[in-house]
Amino acid sequence: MTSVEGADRQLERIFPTGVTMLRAVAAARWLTWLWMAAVVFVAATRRVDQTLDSDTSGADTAFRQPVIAWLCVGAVLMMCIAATVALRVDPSRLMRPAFAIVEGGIALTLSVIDGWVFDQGHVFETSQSLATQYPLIAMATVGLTFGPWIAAAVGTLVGPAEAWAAHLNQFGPWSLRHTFSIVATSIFFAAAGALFGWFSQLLRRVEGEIADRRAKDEVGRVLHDTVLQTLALVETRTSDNDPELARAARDADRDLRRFLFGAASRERHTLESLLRSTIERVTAHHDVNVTINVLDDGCRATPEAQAALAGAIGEAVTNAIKHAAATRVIVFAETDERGEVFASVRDDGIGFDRDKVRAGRGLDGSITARMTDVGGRSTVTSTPGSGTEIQMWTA
Amino acid sequence: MTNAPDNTDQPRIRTVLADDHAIVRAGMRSELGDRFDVVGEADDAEGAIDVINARQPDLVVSDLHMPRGGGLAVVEACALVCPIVILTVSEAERDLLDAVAAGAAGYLLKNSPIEDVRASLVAAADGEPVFSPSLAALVLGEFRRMAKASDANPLTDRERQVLQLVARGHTYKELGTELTISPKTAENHVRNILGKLQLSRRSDLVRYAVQHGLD
Repeated sequence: MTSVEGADRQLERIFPTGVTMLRAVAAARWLTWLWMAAVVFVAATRRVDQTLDSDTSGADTAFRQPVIAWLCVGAVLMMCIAATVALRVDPSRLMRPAFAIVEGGIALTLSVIDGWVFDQGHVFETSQSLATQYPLIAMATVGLTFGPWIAAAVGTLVGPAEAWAAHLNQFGPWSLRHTFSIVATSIFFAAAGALFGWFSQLLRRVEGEIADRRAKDEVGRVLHDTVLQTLALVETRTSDNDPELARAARDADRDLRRFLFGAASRERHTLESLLRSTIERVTAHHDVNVTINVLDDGCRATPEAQAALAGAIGEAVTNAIKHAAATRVIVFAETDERGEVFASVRDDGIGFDRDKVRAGRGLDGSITARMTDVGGRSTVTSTPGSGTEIQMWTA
Repeated sequence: MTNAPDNTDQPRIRTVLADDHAIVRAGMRSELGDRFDVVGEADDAEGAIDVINARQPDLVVSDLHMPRGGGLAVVEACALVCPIVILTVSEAERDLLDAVAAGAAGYLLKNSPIEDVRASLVAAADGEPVFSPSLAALVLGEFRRMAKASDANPLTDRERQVLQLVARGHTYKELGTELTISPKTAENHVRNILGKLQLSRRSDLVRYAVQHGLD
């Protein structure tokens, strides 16, 4: 894996808890192999005195094909060793399709030849088949690699495999109970495969999200510590003697912040994103410092009321910039217990005398009317020389 | 921001600056003006702690993200020596809450207008808690969430009002006029709010620990 693309794909496939799961599966595979070896060993020793209890078939069946049985034990041992080595060297190999296909194939083959290697009367009677828990291991591997659907599909094949095994074992007579047993086996393994697949998909998604968030935080922190620091300084130091540079720095600062912190909130159509985008629009190309504080949890104002409020706030900010010559504007909005919104736009501009400026500055038309149209209200507090505050309520 | 520090008869505020960017320290030093006397500088947390202990300043202005511990380490080590104001670009809620919990006297944003920073730092040196409007809104939001989660809002109505006014950009003086209380009382409210925040952060941690069996 030298190409970047290859490395990326590997990262995407293999996720940290995935490795933990692969380890658990590898351990379970070794246990299964031990169990299988024990089963085969016990059955092989039984061959010697087979003739003594030819009646008591069932639980005590011996081998017709001991060599094949030992070959099967060897095959599973190879899988165990391969998995252990791969875990050491490169765990992602265990999640390649080839490995899962081989494992699924071995599990089904074991289930089928179970009926062939044992003496007649083995199937449906013994508690221990040749495959033991190996199909379950295969379900885990297939689920991890291919996801729930394919794992479920492979799981349903285990039942037919056992039916085939019964055929090879010259089983008869066939009754409803046996059909039922086959169907139950299929359902069990399909469910197991689906569960493993679903669970690993879930883990993978969660981890992906965590990783994305971490990466974003990291980028944000780096930009914070470097670029934003410098921009803030440029903004502060040039505001008197080079307003153009200060404005450029402020724009860059705002764009960067919007990129870093705004993307997530803009995806949702919240009151906050609505207000922010409105204010963003009216302050574009203006040299003004706008602080936006919005607490919009539990907002139950109608969309019309929210739109009206956003429009009114936009007007208020525009007024502050264009007419009041403000350098700072603070926009605050919060929901009350009923879910209605209170908003305030405050500036440090020249202010005005309410008595002298009647319907001026578009206040009555653009702000008061907007709010009253949706059943809200607004008030204006201003003193010449010490700024203006416009307060608005949606209800 | 009319109360510019032009009173030359007052003693200058002996200040230590801690920031890992030399250019930021240089900028701060030149912008702080006559009211401040920069008696020490440091470019990491450990250096800052040493300088503060050696110079015993009246005020520390510290960045949050610095090598070897960051601003939090400085606050934890030296909060009792003198007021420490965090001056940062970080508007992250956790950073603010952690700084307050550690005992910072204030938390200001680097993109605040320099007159505001200056006025806030003078206030902080006098022992006032300083808070910029966006951070007041953040704290208000934190308490709202806590109220929703635990069914008990530890803020009184008056404290809530104070917080809302700060979030709307009122100074302590204006706040006093608005609520017809003295600026000193307004300041006390803010101090109480910060105290509660610190407390609630701790109970948050305890709750988290119990929930996750880490106690």
